[in-house]
Amino acid sequence: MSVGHLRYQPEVGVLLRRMQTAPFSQRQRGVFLGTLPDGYGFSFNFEEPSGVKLLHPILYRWLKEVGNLSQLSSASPEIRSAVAELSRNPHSAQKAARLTVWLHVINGCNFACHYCYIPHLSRFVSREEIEKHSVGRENINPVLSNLIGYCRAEGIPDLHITFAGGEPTLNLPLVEAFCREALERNNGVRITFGMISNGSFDSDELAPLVKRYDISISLSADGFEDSHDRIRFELSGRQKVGSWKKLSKNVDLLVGLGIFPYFLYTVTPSNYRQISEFASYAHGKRLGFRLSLVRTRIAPTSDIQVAMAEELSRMYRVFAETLDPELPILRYASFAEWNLYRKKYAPCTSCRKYFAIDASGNVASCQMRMDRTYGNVVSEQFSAIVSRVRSDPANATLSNPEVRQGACIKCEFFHVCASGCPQHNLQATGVMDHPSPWCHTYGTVLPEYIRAVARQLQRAVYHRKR
Amino acid sequence: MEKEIIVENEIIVSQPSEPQILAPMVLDWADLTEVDRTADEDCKDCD
Repeated sequence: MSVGHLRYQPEVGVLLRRMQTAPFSQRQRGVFLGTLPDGYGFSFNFEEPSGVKLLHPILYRWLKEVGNLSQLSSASPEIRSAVAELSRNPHSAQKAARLTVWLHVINGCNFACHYCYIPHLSRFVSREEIEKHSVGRENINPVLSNLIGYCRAEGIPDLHITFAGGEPTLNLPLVEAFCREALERNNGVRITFGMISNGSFDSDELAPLVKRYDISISLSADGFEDSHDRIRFELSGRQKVGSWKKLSKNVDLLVGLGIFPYFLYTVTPSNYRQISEFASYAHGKRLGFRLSLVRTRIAPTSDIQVAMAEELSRMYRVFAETLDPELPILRYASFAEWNLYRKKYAPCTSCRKYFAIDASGNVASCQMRMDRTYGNVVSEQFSAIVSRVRSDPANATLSNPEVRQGACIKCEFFHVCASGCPQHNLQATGVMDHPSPWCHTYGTVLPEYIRAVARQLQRAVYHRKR
Repeated sequence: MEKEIIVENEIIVSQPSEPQILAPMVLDWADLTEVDRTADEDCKDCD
């Protein structure tokens, strides 16, 4: 059986053709035009992503009839001005450089999600054991001083610290100590905070911290109600206790306090049919989410990929027609690391502007590779560690993604998809610069996603004019 | 006049058809709302 250009053995779900040579979409990369109701159209420039553009019927008709821009000089001034607008990127202004660090403050979790890739993680940890799995208090100052010093030396004005784990809310006093010291010692560097949690916290303890330090909260979800509980549960004795009830209660408490968490939903073969229900739940509370395809070593079977791609595509077609325009898909139903305003060569800035630090202070290229560290930020200059990360040939694809050579660079969708997580590709295929095991799903969903963004924008215009 | 939007053989919603919309020639979401994309630079996959 083949799916596009990939060949699978469905019964074992193993990708056989590891050195895939054909990109998903072999159309020439450029400006794509699509049709919307009532004569409207939309465009998206796959070569220079600058956002999805809703096209007035007059412009769309001209673009379809003329077909090429060499006749632009004979067009009306209005058309010429509009065509120039197609390539305007409203987010092109140079943003201040930022260093992002995932700080795994605790290497212990009260859950044991089967797909968790954090190495040496202590699972089903009880709260009594927390301190021994946490960053030592004596290391807070050295870690922060090192990161802040690096930012100052490199002229980086912003430092973003994402508290992760394990489960960081198991040791909120430690998180608070980090935040307090960071702001006391920031030395002119603007420091912001995020946190990724499984939602099992005590809101009375978390909320004041979130408010005091303006921490952006992301909550992990792996389904809706029962499907979420099958993956995310605590143990009470030998009894599995699902976490959805507590998560949803905490969501309501946080929202009631004016704190709006963002969901991170990991899509798996066992929960993709519940995404729509989950979406209704989240959108009903005016909360957004990002969908990420699970990163397991074994590639998904072709049957699963086709089914998941169809369901995701269907969902975005429904969002296109029904999702409240006050909840833009770009933020409230985002997908993978897609950014329609950024020309990507890699999906993330790992090895360039983003690193992960474990509870002992060891630095990795990202949280997917805590098994491979390059130095310890407690005892060594961060700049030296960063140099080591970037000069490792194994990280070439991430350190200098603009010189990639793999099949993806020929794909029409490359600058949005950027091949998916390179570490996942490495695990599944042995090569980082390689199409994702989820290539079929990404390639099928992306056009639907773009059209949905456009259609919702059109509905936003209708809504605004009433 | 109402128009039915059919998605996947199901009638999803009825929406009024707007014969004349006063929209600019080209519109981007950023013209309507500030959608923070900063976070997309980094992998947001959770543990």
